[in-house]
Amino acid sequence: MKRKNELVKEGSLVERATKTRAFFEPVAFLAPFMVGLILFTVYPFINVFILSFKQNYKLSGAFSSFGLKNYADVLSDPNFLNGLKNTGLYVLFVVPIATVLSLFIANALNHDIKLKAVFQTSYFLPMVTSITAVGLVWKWLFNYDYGLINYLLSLFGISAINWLNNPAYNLSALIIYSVWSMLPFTIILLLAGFQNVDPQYYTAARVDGAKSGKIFFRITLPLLAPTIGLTTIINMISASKVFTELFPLFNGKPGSAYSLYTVVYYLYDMFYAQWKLGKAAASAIILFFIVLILTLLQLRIQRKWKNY
Amino acid sequence: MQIKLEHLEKKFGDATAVQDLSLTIENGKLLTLLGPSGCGKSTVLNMISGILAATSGRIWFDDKDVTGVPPEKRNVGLVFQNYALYPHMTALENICFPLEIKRVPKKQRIERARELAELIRISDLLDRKPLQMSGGQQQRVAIARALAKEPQVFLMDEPLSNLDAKLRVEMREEILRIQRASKVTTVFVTHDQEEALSISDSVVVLKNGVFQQQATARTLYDEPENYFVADFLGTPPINKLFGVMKNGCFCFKDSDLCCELPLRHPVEDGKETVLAVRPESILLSVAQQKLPCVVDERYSVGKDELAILNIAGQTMRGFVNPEYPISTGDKLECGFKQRGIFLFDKKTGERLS
Repeated sequence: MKRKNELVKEGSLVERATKTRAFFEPVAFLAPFMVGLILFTVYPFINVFILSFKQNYKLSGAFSSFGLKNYADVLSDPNFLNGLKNTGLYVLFVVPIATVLSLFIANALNHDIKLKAVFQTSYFLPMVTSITAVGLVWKWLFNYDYGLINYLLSLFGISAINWLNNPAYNLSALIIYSVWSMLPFTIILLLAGFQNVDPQYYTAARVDGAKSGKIFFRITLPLLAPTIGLTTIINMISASKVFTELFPLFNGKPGSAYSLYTVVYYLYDMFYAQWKLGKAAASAIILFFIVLILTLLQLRIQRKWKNY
Repeated sequence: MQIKLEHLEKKFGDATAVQDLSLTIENGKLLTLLGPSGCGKSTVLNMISGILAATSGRIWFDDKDVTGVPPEKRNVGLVFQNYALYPHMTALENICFPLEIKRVPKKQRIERARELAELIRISDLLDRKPLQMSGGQQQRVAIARALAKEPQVFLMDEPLSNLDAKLRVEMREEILRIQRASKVTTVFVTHDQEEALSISDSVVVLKNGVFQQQATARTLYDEPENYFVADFLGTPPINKLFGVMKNGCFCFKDSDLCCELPLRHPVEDGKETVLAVRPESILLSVAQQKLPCVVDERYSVGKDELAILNIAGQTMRGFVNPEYPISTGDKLECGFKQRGIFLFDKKTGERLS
């Protein structure tokens, strides 16, 4: 009881107790997440990084030499280079197309349209469905003889396209399917962005004499730029890791004639099919740095876009 | 540009926000819509700007009926209560935006914006974004933006309510100066009577969407047409003394004390009335009518001294001469000046004297 009345002196028990608390309290809250992160992300990452330098690594732990040979092998492997090219093309098409489409849809959903709830639900449906299950549905849509897509094309006098079995069209099929599956998440984020724009700016712009097109491009879009930047980064990262989408469409193969290798498929192939663990690790590290560089670039651009 | 509102009405569902409003705003004048919050003044403004469609009635800009014209075609300048400056544009870009819409060449746009910035004294702020500016600065930019397209009508929706007291007085003088310089017909909305009285050529008082009175600030204060206007204007508020009519005289409630007033028309005996007296119209020293009263309290508010007086069981506040030697508990006699004293029908609010 006496202690309470004493002044809290530097180094006193009370102060030390407060300091200890100030340290341990946040640590206690963060610990569960940090343990998981270190155990399942940081530690394996470091291991993969080290592994990528070991040649002929066996699960027993034995390896023949330590060096950059895995990287040299991977970077000269035509399958990997093909995967790099395909992944690049994939990102280059899927992300912008999905972003622009999502912008239009989110904009429409943001207005008071009839059957708004119905539209909202249907656009968000892909989000709650299994990518593989829906992939199988898309496999049917793409079917050469009976597919709905070829039927629709035939209505416009376009002859049937062999989406899934002609290597020339494999990437297009993958892109179409992926754009569709990327829409809901992008729409949700963009819709939130749209709803964050104070409607007063629209009123102000109308009083200033602007018509809807002008308002969209001069007011809405710039105010939405940070959100668009965010969705672009997230989508680019996830698109760089394209893999799951391949399975239902091409029966677990990378395209009809092994033409549609992606970086992650290559990794998977090296790891599970060929047991070349070092090469798998090296390709993983290369992908990691590509994604990292893309993200840093994006962040810089985004900071420029964050305009107020 | 003369603005004329004819039987203007606005309903939101079942609620009537503005009811049968007719008024004229003369070319180049500054008119204020004054009333407590929720009285429909902003609704009227938004109907003039075209943001809200009128339920019925007409709006005329000179001899052109603009009732159905969308806001982007009305050529009005509007200053919003929270300014609504585009956050991603600099002050200069904000001011230029309406000109950009009008397809004014870029060079002229910037020239015009700089001229306006000069007038509004923000030349040194043109490169800043709204978030880097204070409320007062944002407000000036908003005014410049509204004036940039040379609007036929200049509308301001409580533009001073987000500013601190000192800045408010400064900006209100500034607005007056800008309006005088630009000679644009202006409608100003406020709930602040001091603001309204100090800058307007003419003030319209609204209550629950119903027109009360249109007059100059002076007239509104000196000759309120009804009880609401008398009560709404003035700080400290006008004193309300309740009573009934007897032989054409106002007699205090539950009291024999009566006083004679010049009535506008004969009023029947027994009618319940309210005698409204401005605090500065109470005379303590030289009074014509000798009404006994007791000093309940005396206190000072800045430069003035106020006394709370008890007269026939009712209280009223009056300004007193600081040198006048009265203190709590004193019994004295008071009277009223000719000016600033009104008699109203308690039920209808109609002015009787």
